[in-house]
Amino acid sequence: MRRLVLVSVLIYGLVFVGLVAREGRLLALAVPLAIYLGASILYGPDRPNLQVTRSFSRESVATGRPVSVKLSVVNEGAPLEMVFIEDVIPPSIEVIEGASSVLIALPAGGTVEMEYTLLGKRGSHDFQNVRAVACDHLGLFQQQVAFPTTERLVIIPELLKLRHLAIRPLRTRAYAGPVPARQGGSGVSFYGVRSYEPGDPLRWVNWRMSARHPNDYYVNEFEPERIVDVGLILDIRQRNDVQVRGKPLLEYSVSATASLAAAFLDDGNRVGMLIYGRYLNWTFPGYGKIQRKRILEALTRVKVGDSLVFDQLDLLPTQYFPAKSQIVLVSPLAPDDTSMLIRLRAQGYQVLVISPDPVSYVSKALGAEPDVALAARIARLERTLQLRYLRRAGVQVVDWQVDQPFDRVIHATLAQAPQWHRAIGTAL
Amino acid sequence: MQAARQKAEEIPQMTTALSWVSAGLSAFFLALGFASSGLWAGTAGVLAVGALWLLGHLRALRWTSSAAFAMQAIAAAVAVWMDVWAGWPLLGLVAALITWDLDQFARRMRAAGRVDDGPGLERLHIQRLSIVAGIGCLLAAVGLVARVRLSFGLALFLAAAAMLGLSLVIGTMRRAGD
Repeated sequence: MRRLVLVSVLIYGLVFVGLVAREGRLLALAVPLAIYLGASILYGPDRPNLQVTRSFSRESVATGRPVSVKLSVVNEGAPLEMVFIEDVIPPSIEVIEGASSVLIALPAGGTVEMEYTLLGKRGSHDFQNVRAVACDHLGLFQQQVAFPTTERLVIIPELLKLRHLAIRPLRTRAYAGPVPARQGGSGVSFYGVRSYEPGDPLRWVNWRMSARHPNDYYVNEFEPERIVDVGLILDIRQRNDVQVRGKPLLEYSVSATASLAAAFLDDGNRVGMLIYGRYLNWTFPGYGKIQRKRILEALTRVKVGDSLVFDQLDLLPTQYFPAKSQIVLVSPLAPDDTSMLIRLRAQGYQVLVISPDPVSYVSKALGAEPDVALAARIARLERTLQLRYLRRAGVQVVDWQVDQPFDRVIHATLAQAPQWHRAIGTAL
Repeated sequence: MQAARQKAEEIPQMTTALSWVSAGLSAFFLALGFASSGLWAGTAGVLAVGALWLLGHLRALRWTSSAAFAMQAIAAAVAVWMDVWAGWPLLGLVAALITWDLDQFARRMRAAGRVDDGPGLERLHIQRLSIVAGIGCLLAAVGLVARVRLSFGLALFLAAAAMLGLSLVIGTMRRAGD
């Protein structure tokens, strides 16, 4: 529109000065500009009347996976001698291949198709408008129309494939599963020996032990394997998050939580999830693929944030988690989180902490200057002490430096069953 | 269809070339007009504006095009005022108009991620611009040569009517565009 103003001002100026000065040649100078303006008016564009259809190759993809978009536009109105059509893409998504805008002459009934590939950040992205700007060739007058669309692209957290995770909460559920139940019964693994009771199958009799006690018979007991309740807690408190080159540590936590949820659900366990920080978001415990979808949907929308109420871990609503179940906290950990974790342990929960290491995450990005190195060393010492304190209190801790593969780190940690683990099992 | 699709950056080659030529011609015609009347300051001024315009092309500066066009138009008016033979300012102004239009067209093409049938669009644009510039130049030349005696009152009335009519049309088009 600025071009129109410029041409108009020049025409008016020349005509005005020409009249005031009574100089016909100045009026003549205005003629080419007036003809230019007149041609623009004559060929002025009609309002675009387009039918827009957009489709994604997949409506839900994992972070880091590209999505193909196909945009089809049909001109249902008058011919447009030049029209600029642009798919307005949400800001957190970038086009990595192809073009999301086109300049074209579109006859009545004409069609144009655009194909491009997107790569976006985790989240739910609404595609709201396709913008069309029609103009004549000289471009002084434009007709701009936004065609509303309702498509949504959901980019879920990246899921890492995890093998069976060796967890051993104190209480199991009634159904068969992968977790040893810490009690005798029918199963595969040897659990102990007890006196023979009528009805016990003969093949269970421990003949060697019975031979040593002539007046009694003894039978082997086996440890059944059951499913368990797992409560995942994702810490999204702002105070615990750090960012390096625009990528927050939270993204790793979210990916780890999603992978853990998928692994536990694949084993048949009942899994619930609590997002703790800016708000409380509780995904009620459930089984199977539907629960997995629910958890992924909740994780897709997670954003880091602060709340005065949930600033500390002390207000963790433990009543959400069944007694003596497995709790998995995914958090970089704040210094004052220790007491709450020990309290959970004291209440009988089996606590596993997955802690993405914020110190190494930041210090690697900051470089190796002496001041940075010293600060990192102090922070690392504090963190090491905190983790050691937690381990001594019976909390399993996975200290995860996020540049290492999560599956390798967690399996390496869980493979080392601590001594107290077995001790509790035999006491029961 | 696939062959007709091209990346936007590669498209306006003919437009760009013509834009360079017409920017140079604009400065040349105006400078010639000033120089033929011994107005050396004016010559230097329009050559400087021409250089600025070419520099804008070279550096892809957005603001230079409109600024240079406005300055060349004012320079053309000044040249006429200073009794330079009116043919040179008229040619300079038309060349400046062509350059300014082609700059804008090239920018529009580059802004698009993809241009379908770019050479066709370019050809059509240049064709229309040539017709408009030719008619404009011709009518202006007729206006320079023809002598019609009008009373001041009638001239004022005609000019006011033209301005009012033009304002109404532009206003209507702008509202339709919104």
